[in-house]
Amino acid sequence: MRENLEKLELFLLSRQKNERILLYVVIPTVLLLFFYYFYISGALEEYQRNEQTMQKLTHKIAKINTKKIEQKIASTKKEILRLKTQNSELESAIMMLQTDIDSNNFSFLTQAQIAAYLETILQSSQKYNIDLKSLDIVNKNIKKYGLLRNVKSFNIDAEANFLNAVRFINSIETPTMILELNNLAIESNATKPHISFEINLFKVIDDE
Amino acid sequence: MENDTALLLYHDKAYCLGENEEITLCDFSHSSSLFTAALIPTKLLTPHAFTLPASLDADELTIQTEIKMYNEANLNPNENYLIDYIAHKQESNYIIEAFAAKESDVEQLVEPYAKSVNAIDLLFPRFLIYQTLYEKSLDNEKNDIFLYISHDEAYAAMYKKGRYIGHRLFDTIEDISKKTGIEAVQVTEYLNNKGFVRENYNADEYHILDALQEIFMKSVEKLVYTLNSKRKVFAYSMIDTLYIDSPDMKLQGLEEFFQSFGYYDLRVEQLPFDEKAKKFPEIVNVLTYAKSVAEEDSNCEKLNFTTLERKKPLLQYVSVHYILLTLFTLLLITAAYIYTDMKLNSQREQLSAKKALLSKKEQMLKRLKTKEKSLQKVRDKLKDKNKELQKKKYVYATTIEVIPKVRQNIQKRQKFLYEVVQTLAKYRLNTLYIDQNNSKQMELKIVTERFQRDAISKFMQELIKKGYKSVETNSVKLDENIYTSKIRIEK
Repeated sequence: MRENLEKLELFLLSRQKNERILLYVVIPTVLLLFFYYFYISGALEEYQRNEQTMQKLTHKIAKINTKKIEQKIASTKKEILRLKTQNSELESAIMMLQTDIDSNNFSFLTQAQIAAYLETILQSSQKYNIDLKSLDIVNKNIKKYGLLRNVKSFNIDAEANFLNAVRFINSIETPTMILELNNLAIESNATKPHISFEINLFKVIDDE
Repeated sequence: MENDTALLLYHDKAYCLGENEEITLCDFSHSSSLFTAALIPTKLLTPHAFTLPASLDADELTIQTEIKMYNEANLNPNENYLIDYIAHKQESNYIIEAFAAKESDVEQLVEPYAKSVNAIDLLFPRFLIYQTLYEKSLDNEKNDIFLYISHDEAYAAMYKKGRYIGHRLFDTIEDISKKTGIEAVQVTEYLNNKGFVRENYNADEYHILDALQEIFMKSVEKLVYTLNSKRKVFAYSMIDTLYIDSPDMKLQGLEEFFQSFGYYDLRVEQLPFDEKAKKFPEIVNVLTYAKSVAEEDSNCEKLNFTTLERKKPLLQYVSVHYILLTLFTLLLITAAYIYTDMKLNSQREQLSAKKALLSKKEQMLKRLKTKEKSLQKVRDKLKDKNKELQKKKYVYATTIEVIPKVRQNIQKRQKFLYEVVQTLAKYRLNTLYIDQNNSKQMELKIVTERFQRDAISKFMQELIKKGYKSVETNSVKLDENIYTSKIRIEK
C-alpha cells in the first residue's frame, strides 16, 4: 500500500508543478462535470418537467369547480321537491275533481241508463201523442268539452202538433244525464208538423 | 523530551540531546517525534573517489556515481548496495567522495532497532561529525586530522578548512588486541597512559611498545599516503593539527610517527570536550552533528545509508491531497445528490398528491354530473307529470265546469224556443219550419197574411228587445197572398 503510494507520489512529483496544480482543478471539475452530466442535468430536466406538470395539474384542479354543479344539484333538488309537492297537490285536486265527477255519476253511462232513457223517450212520445216515425241510436266517440265524450246519439223523426212536440222535447231533456239536443227541426208544411232532432249523450272518460 | 532536539541510537540505547546540549538516556519511543540518527561503522563502507563534470545536475550526479561505483569500486554485482556521496565542486568538475554499503549489512545493523523505532532518519559514518566543531571552537581556515580509536571503530578523518575530504581506517582496540595478544583493556591503558614514549615503559614492556609502534606506524604510513594523494586533489599545503577524538586516549608521542614522514609542524591535541558532555563524551559530537543535520537550513555535508527511512505523514503526500480533494468533491456531490434527491422526492410526492387530488376532484365531478343528470331526469319526469297533471286538472276542472253549462244549455235552448214560439204566437205568425241547431242559433221561416205583413218586423223587434244578439232576415217574399220570411236568430 505504502509502496504504491510512494510510487504514485514519485510519479506525481516527477510531473511539472503546473501540471500538479492543474490536477487540483481538473479532479473536482471532472467529477462535478460527470455528476452534472449523469445526474444533475437529468434531475433538473425532471424537476422542470414536474414543475410544468404541477402547474398544469394546479390549473386543472382550479378549473374543476364543483360548487357550481353542487348549486345546480341543490337547485334541481329544490325544484324536484317543489314539483313533487305541486304534483301531489295536483293529484289531490284531481282526485277531488274525480270524486266530484264520480259523485254525480257522470262517469257512467250504462246500458241500464240508456235503456231507461229510451223508455223515457218512448213513454213521453206516447204521453204527448207524438207520432214517432223513427228513432236511431248511434254509437259515437267524439270528444266534446273536457273529459266529456259523446258516446251515443238518438236521432228522432216524428210528427206531432207543435205544442206537443215542444213538450215532448222538453220532457226528454232530463237533468239526470249529460245530454245535448241538436239540429232541432220543426217543419209545418203538412197537416202535422214534422219534427226531427238529435240527442247526444255524454260520458266522462279519462283516457288522457 | 519537549526540549530534545535529536536522538541517537548507539549501542542498543537511545540518547537524546536537549536544547541546552545536555545528553540524557531516553526511551526509543521518542524516536517518533525526534530526528533519529545512528552510526554506521566505517569499515562497512566501500569508499571511492573520482571526478565528474560540473555540468551534471543532482540526479545525473547520483546516477553517474552509482554507475562509477559499480564499475570502479569493485562492488559485487549480485549484491544490493546503498550508495551516497559528497561532492566537492572545483572549477570544471566535481570531486566525488562516494561510499557504498551493502544493503544486507545495513539491514543487519538496523535490525535491533527496527522493532523499537519507526525510522532512522540518518545512518551515517562517524567521520563526518567534526564539521560542527568548526562552527563552534575550531578554526575553519585550518587543515586538520581527527583520530578516533575505540574498541570497534578507528579512523583518521581529514578536513580541509572545516570540510571533510577523506579518511583512513586505523586498527581498532580489538584489532590491536588481537595483533598484540594484549587484552583490549590493557591496550587502552597503554595507549592512554604510556603512549609511544619509551621512557614510560619498563624494559619488560618494550615488546609491547614495539608492537604498538609497528601497528601505528603502518596506519600512519597509510594515512600519510592518503594525505599526500589528497593534497594533489584538494591542493592544501600543510596539516595543522591532529585531534585525538577520545578523552581516554592520550597517545603520547604520536607526532613522532608523522615527523618521520616530514610532518614536523603537526600538532597533536586532545579534542576539546564540553563540560556538559562529560557524561557521554563519545557521542556528544555525534549528537551535535545529527542535530545540525536535522536543522532545515543545515549546510552540513552528510552521508545517509538508512534503510529505515521515516515515512512522510500521509497528509504531506501530493497523492493524498488529490485523494482528499476527490473525497471532498465526492462528499459535495453526495450532499448535492442527497439534496437534489430530497427535492425531487418532495416534488414527486407533491405531484402524486396533486394527481390524486385531481383524480378525486374529477371523480367527484363525474359523480356530481351523474347525480345532476339523474336528478334532471327525475325533475324532467316530474315536470312532464306536472304538465300532465295540470292538463288533467284543467280537463277535470273544465269538465266540472262544463257539465252545469251543458245542463244550463238545455234550459237556455228550451227558453230560446219558448220565447220564439211565444213571440210568434203574440204576432199570430206561423212557421214553415224552425231549425234550432243549438241553444244559440235558430233559423225559422215565417208565414203571414198580406195584411199582417208588419208582424214579421214586429216579431224581430220584439226578439231584439228581449236581448237577442242578432235577429236578421234576408228577404220577405210574397207568394200567393202569403208573405214568407226566413229569419236567423242568434242569442
